[in-house]
Amino acid sequence: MRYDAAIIGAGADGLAAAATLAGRGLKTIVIERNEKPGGRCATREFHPGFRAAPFCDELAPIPAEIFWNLDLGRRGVTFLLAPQSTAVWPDRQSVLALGAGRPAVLDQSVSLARAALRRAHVDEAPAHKSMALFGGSPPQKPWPGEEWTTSSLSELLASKVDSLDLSAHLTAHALGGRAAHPDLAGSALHLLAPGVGGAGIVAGGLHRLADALASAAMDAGAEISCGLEVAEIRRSDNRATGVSLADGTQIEARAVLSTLDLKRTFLSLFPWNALPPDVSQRAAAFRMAAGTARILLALAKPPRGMSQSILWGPIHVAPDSKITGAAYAAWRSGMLHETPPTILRLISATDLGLCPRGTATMTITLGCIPARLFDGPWTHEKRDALGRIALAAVESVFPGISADVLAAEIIAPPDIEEALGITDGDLWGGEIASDQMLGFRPWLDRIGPRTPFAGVYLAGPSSAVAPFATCAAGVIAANAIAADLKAGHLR
Amino acid sequence: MSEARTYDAIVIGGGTSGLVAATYLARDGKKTLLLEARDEFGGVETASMSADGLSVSLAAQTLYALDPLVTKQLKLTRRGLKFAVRDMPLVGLRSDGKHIVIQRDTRASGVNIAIHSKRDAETWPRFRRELFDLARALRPFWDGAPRKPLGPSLQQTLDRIARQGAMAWLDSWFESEALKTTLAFDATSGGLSVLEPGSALAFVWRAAQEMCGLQGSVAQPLGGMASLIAALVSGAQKAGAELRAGIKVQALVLDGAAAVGVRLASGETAFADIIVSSLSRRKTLGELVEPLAGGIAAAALISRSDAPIAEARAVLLLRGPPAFGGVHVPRNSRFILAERPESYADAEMAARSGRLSDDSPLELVVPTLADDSLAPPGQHILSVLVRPVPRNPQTPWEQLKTELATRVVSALGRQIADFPEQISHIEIFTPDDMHTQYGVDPARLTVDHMLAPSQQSIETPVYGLLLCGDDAQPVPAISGRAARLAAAIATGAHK
Amino acid sequence: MIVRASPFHSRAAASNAFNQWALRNNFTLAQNFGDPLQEALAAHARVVAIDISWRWRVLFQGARAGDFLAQLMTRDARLLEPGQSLKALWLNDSGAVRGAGVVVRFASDKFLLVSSAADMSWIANAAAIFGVAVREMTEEEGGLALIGPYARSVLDATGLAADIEPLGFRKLFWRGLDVTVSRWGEQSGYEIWCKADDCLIVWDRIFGAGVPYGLQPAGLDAADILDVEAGITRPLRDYLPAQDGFADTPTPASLGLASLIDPAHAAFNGRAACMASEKSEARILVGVEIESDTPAPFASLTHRDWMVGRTLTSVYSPVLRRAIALAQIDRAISEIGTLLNLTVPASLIRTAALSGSARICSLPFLSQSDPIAP
Repeated sequence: MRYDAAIIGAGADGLAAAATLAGRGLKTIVIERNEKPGGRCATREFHPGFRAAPFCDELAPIPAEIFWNLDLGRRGVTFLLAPQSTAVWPDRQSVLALGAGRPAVLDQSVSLARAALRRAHVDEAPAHKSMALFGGSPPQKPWPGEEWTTSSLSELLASKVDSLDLSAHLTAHALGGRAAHPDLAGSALHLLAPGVGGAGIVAGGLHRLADALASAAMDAGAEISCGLEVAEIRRSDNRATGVSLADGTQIEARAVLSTLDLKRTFLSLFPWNALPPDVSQRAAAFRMAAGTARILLALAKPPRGMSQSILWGPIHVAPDSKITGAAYAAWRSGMLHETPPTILRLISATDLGLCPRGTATMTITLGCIPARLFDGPWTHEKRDALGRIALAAVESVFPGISADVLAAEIIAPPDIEEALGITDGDLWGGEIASDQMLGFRPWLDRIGPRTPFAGVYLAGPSSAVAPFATCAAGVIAANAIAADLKAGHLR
Repeated sequence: MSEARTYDAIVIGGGTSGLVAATYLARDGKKTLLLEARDEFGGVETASMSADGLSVSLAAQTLYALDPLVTKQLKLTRRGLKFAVRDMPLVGLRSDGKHIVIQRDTRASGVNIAIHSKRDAETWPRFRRELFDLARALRPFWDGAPRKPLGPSLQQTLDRIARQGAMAWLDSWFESEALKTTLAFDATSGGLSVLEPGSALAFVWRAAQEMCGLQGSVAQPLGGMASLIAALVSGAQKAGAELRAGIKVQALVLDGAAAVGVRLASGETAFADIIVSSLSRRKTLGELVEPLAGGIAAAALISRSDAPIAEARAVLLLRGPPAFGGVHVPRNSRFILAERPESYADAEMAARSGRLSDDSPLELVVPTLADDSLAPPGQHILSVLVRPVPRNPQTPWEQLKTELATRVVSALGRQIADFPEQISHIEIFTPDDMHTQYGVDPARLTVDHMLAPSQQSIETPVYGLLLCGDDAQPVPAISGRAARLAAAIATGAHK
Repeated sequence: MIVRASPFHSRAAASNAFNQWALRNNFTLAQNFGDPLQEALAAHARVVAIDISWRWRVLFQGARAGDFLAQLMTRDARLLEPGQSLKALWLNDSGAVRGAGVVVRFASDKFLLVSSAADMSWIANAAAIFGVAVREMTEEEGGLALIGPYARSVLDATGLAADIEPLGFRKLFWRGLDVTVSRWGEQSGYEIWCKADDCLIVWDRIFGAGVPYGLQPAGLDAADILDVEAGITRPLRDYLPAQDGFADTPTPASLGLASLIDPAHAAFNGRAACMASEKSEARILVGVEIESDTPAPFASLTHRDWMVGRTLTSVYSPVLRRAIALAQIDRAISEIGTLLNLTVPASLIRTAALSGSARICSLPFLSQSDPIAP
């Protein structure tokens, strides 16, 4: 049987695309390597009774129209937004309001991100900014946020924020669990797509989002096949004809949508000699910047000594731009820094169902953790060392908490790579840099879901909109596929 | 004694930029006074060490950005500026002896690059053509002409280059480490980072320069920088400018928001409608005027423009010509010694945290191979540029000199046979020395600055005050173009 | 970003019958105490007390404080004697307004700046470069403004000697408390400043003495009505101060602040740009009377189908019995008496656009000394 669209990967993008395509009456199949759909929208029971999202606490916000069109609210998705973020030093704290009353620079970044998202919705190609310095009126309107492209995060915050503590806090908020240097030009772009997420914690666990998206897709008529791995995208006559699975099965489809990252899509799903040299070179030159590691802690009792409003949001441990810079330098050399940027989140304070009564679950997100260490692969000893580093950071904020730790699960970048199939374990699908963002993502001269190959589309973390919004890349790609099918571009 | 004298124009600083500005102003009929704080003209290009009674220059030995219009209009060739080498090839010294030689002849370069990568050899002509095309298109803009729209493909290339780090841009063209490592050194001019957007523009800027009629060439002046300075000084004097050495400017005299003169350290005042300063923007607007007189936002920008990355120079006096191992390479070349592409990023990260890197990239020339007047007879100079190094290291530079010298010698020793025994003298010219003795104080280079119209970099918020030094140029280099443009702005405004 | 409570908060809360609060300069203040129109009328007829603790106050200290303020502000603070004050603006490098305030000279090396909106980073950075110490006083002191024809009488009744010239101030020791009485505000009233801990005592004393004069508290709504009637623009309410060091809007003339610039002052930040642009000033501040009772803030104004300007804050004036607004109008059309069309665009709440007419009149609409029309 021939499908209209085959979607590789049942993450948020893939499921949203499937729901959109099937909703338009197109025969759609989603092929997922893991046993359950959802990708990073998963909840893992890492210790009996204790559950947590293994890869990230919060995703990027889901655009309102997607939320309503897919009826996610009725399907059981509720977002619990953190009212504030706190940064804790030994002698002082800083509070960053995330809702009403947040600093103007956050308002500005949110509106720029929304504008960038709206701009990316319109599939223009090539949509790059022409330097306003050159030639009278630029042929293309500049992208929103362009002025932040060449400035560094520290410079941007120095000009918009008074206090040094708030500056350091906002830097940690923007960089989240990534590996970046706040003094390098182009790092201001992180503020447009903060690493801490922004959508809020999904009540009941992040898998609820995956379940809602999957049910939306299935209700619309899409098929979701789990436990199957795609080995190759097949083309003939320069058009996509379907995919081949690892076990040899062929699935025929008029359009193929890959929600894997750029490198994995082009460097592993195509035979090596099928790519024109410039495509393969660009895919090889696309830089990943995997730097996130996660530690999930099961605690015997909730920590004391902090007010509820602090425990409801992320806690940054002693953010300091100099230390972040040193951690970045260590990351580049493949070494572990003793005090990498650390974010604690007591998710059980927000979502009580994640652990048995009277206990607590805490997630720790570390940044600047290299995907490959200079002295070899990630072994158990190295993971333990990472766990000790994380625990030391938690101790500095909650003294004595180590005694309450019942279990810890350590998720290093290679674990993320293995679980999600994302190159190097880079959750954001590519380095957030001025030549890989806004009008230059994922390709250097085009945005949008279409690739140089007819019938092959790209959504997923390397898309232009992926850092700003969840599910948007999938929906944009689905709309493009539907439009192309209707216009007869695909046989 | 307080004596006030009136001129049409006063130029502060008698380095190359100041001399060029003074010459142009005087040629235009302005009564021009040039004031230099040191006892001799030439600025940092006169830095030297003494060896066997001969003074050996610590300054740069090559020129790549001298404005051709300045050379022609100020008749520098007639005044004694000749070139010992007109087009130095670029050689990347590799530890396995397979050095990579890049010269003007694209085919010859291609043959040499093919030893490392056939694909890169095929890409090389296309890369060079695209780079030079873009450079030629941007040259009028950098020469002070108003902006004109570029064609769509050039515009696209410019957009990409302006937001890519140099290493990412080179990665997008080439695969061989040898080639990328050799080319990347030029992207670190002015303290640029190979990781930050804009460093790829430095390539374009260098390719837009012209020496001895050849685009993108690097030349070695006969007699070193001293001959350039001598030519400029004689040109300035012939044009009628009054050159005074040994006089330090204490402050600018302002009338409201306009500059009307300078006050000297001796207490005297000299008045002029036009003041052209070849000092850095920070020094001119931060130290020579009342704080904030140049505007509060401008002062805040200056205070944030510290450059954490600088360059240092090591000059070695050798008892004989250095013998490079490995394949035969042209001797009058610019040699780049860097292990891997990551060396640049590592060195820069180390510099940002105030340390020397184990593997700092080096550029070296041996000027005495083409010009034996630069050193005592029979001896040779090895002039090494180390970049990036920290501007303010954790250990002060005075104490760091020896360590830098050791690292340079050991790095060179891996390439040159019998090396340490050949050295008769070594001197390190640190960023601190450059700053305290010669006032070298560049601001941090950004892509916005490199693409700003020249007028914006030259003019200041103070009426009648213009800059013509390193900060007035897209990329700091010995050029004279900003000085020429500053003089043109000054005379144009007063017509 | 912490929201602070005014030192008078508990007394204000006791009177805030409908629990209407608003934020100004990160302080929680009463928006109104029940009926803002009645409070505005009382300000004209009797006397009201308005909490002004949220006004941003900064102390400058140092031998060069006078020179610094002269460089920063559009009028020369060095010409002040200790005890005198002046009103001036401070501009960015391109001549755009960053703030307006009152500069008070306490001593030869001590000045105070009082303004409606904070601009700490700009001024503190500049002061650091200049070498002058800066200290923010906003939280250390509270302030209460008494506005109305009987303000002087209330002060006399409490024992505060109020014989102060406009823009002057006096430091007094008042029955055990250190207070400053000043006349820095725009409406002809008096301000009493005291230490934050003493605020409640001061409130009780003032209100105790004000009973026979009908003293009542008034909130921000009433203060806005008084501002518009007096033709006063305030940052963050009518306009955004120039945030960037190099943006060239808003200009002083477009906010009615051109009179606060002294052309004889030789050197102040942004002078060159300001002098150069004042001839080419496109829009100026005028007042418009709207032929209706509904205020129309930030509405566009057209004259014969050309868009000529827009309104800023708009209020219903209980004295004039119609809606009035401050407006920025093209200079060419700004003759008094011109009739313009007003359009308020549709919004989520009101889905149809509103249209009406408005007439340009001179500012101020009313000054405090005008007798109230029946």
